[in-house]
Amino acid sequence: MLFNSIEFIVFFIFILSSIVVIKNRKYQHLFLLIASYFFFYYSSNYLIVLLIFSTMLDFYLGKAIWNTKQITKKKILLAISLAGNLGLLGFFKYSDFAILQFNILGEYFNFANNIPFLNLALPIGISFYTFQTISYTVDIYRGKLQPSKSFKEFALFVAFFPQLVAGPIIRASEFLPQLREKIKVGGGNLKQIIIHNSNLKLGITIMAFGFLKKMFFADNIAPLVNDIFMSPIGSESFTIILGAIGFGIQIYGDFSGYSDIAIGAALILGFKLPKNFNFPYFACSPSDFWKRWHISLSTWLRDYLYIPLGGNKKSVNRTYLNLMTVMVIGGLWHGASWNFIVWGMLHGSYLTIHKIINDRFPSIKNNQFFSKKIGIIISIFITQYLVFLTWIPFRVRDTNDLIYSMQKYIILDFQITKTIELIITHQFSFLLILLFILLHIVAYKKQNLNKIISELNLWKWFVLLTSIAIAIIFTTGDAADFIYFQF
Amino acid sequence: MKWSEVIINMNGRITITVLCSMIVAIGILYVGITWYQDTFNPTIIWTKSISEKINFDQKKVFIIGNSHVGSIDPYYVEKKINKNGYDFRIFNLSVGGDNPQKRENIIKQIIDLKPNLVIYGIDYRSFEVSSSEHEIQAGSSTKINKIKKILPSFQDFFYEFLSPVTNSEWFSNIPQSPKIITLRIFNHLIYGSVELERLNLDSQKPLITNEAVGIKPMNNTELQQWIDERRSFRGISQLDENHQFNSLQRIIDKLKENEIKFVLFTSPHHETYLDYLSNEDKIIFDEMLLNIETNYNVKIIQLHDKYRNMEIFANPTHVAIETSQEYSNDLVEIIINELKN
Repeated sequence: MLFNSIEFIVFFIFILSSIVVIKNRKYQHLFLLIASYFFFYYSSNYLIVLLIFSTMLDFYLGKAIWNTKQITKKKILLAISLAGNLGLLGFFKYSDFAILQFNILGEYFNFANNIPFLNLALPIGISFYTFQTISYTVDIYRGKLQPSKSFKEFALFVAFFPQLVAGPIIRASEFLPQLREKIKVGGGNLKQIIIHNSNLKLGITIMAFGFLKKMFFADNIAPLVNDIFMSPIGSESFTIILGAIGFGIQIYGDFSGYSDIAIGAALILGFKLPKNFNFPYFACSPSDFWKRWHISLSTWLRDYLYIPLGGNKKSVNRTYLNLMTVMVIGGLWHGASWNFIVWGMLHGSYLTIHKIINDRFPSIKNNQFFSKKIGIIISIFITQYLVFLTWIPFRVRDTNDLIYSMQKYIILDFQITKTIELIITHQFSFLLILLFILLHIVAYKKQNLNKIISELNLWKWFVLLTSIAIAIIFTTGDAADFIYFQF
Repeated sequence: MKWSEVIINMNGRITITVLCSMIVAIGILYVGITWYQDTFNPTIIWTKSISEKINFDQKKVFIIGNSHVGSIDPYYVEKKINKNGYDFRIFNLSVGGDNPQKRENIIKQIIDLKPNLVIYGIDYRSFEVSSSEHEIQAGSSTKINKIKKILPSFQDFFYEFLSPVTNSEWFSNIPQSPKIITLRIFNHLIYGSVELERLNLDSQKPLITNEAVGIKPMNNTELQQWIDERRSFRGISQLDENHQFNSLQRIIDKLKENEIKFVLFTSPHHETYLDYLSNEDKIIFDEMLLNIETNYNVKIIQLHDKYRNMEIFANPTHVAIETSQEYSNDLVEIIINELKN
């Protein structure tokens, strides 16, 4: 069920109305769980079995890990949990990719037969919910988290519909306590989900901006990007740069828009989900970018992969290797393709080079110039030039097209004729890119724009909401999938 | 809870504000579409302008359909028919990208002009599934997804539930892509209506240009190359879920209600195109024709494979303007046969 569909609107209105009617928290949670399973079943049908399997596996293993005193037994139980979750993820997401690599090797060594592909359907959201359940058992193993006493609550943590199919990846330590929070009313505590008016207004504002990012910006910039990268060979450097910028904005609008809708919907129901984006295109270094882009994934990779690998506590070379490993795996998490590996390697090398410069040339890092406004602006431009380069392998699948596009992006030809023609053909998309940049700068300067808007009086809020609705309705074509669903 | 309490309650006020903003936005969209229809829809502009000039007592034949009908020369057809002792004016009202759903939106304007005979050219593309329907169908056709069919589908249930609305006449007036309208309005405001300027609204083929149809014929090699490079037919849905077929039935009903004679013909295609289409789609198309013929007693003349080997096509689905004489002659025959009855 896409967020930008009539089904979701009907579904969400039904959820809100029911939550208001039910009143008892126990039953509200049960209702939310059933609704979340329905949400998943609606578009994924029988694949819901995998979600339930993953939930049951980690609920019981989490308990067993907590109750076991022997460290070896704890390790075995954790290994079963990891094998179960990663096995599912690997089988459904990477088996055909592995078969393809094996067949290519087979051809190289003249093996007679190719292994047939499994052609499995990729279960929606599997990368997100398996990472959530893994973090649950690992946190219990580390003694940082007590296992959930209630299966219903744990199942709701795994399946909570706003974040089920495309994140943010939440931690049990963030979510489970919210299920038991008591609301102080008068002298007593109320055990009930209350739709609070400030949450309702802020949640709707966040959702409205999410829809705007996805449906107005991302979906309408897509035609320009598609036109450029459908057949990029022969394109000018500025065309490729425009395509990379367009795709960078498209994927940001798409993914952060989805996250906003998820965060807003959860907030209306009284749940706080973590921020997933914090103006990534204002990052002034590669490491700063990863503190701002897909924050829930980057912190997950840090806590459950980079640190267990040794982080920066071992040798210098090991730190660099760890950075590279984490980013390549982060790339593979996005999809079973060499493109994502290239994307991960590029980010890994940026982080490594940035760390080398910081470690070996502290004078550069501490230079006063980089704390001045002009220094910060230059840092942002350099960082973003490198970041937008990585969007090319993310978007362009054909190897020849990819090599050509990256060459043109790096070695400028200073031709502009075809780029201008393209801009004239796609004036609307181009104007939206400019408008997005402008609004992004305004939002960055204001920082808490959603909160400021949600505190406007109802008349002003109405005008803004209507403007957003008009912008979306008047520029809607066919409903497009969210890019991050495929991950 | 009483309505007064809802209005006083802050959550109620927020909800009402959201509802109002939706209503205002949709209202503005509705006004925009109405303005668009009056300002930009060539058929509506033409029918308005022609209704001022036309002599309603003059006998008229309207040939309607998509661009596959666009190469029929109305002047040539008119001359040939009137040589046989008739006094008719022939209009070719084909529109690029037309299909029964779009035609249904403007059938009222056509009826108001009181034609004596309407000849509708249809073909496979008239019933092709939309891109959004195609995505849903593609998603459900993979091998593993066959398991899905065993379990109940709430998606099907939801669409079934909405079908009275989505199949209604009111819904068919809502454009699938308001974006096209918005862009056209902006285009018009900035550059003027280039699209309308290209058309010759005073002619008897007012709604399509020769360039849009294709002027010169291709040879067989070029036609094959064309189909290899651009093959893109999304298929035809079964009769019971085919919105285009439903629209066609409603068009026939309306014409019958107004006692306007109606004939269907299938527009010609080159063999490269006919060979490319799947048998499944051809069977559904034939079922549609049979259904219309038996249930509505409508005459259907099949031209779709009549010229399959001939080098008269500007591309595999369009007879070229320069080589369309035989196609026009067939239309003359169809019209004369109908007028005789």
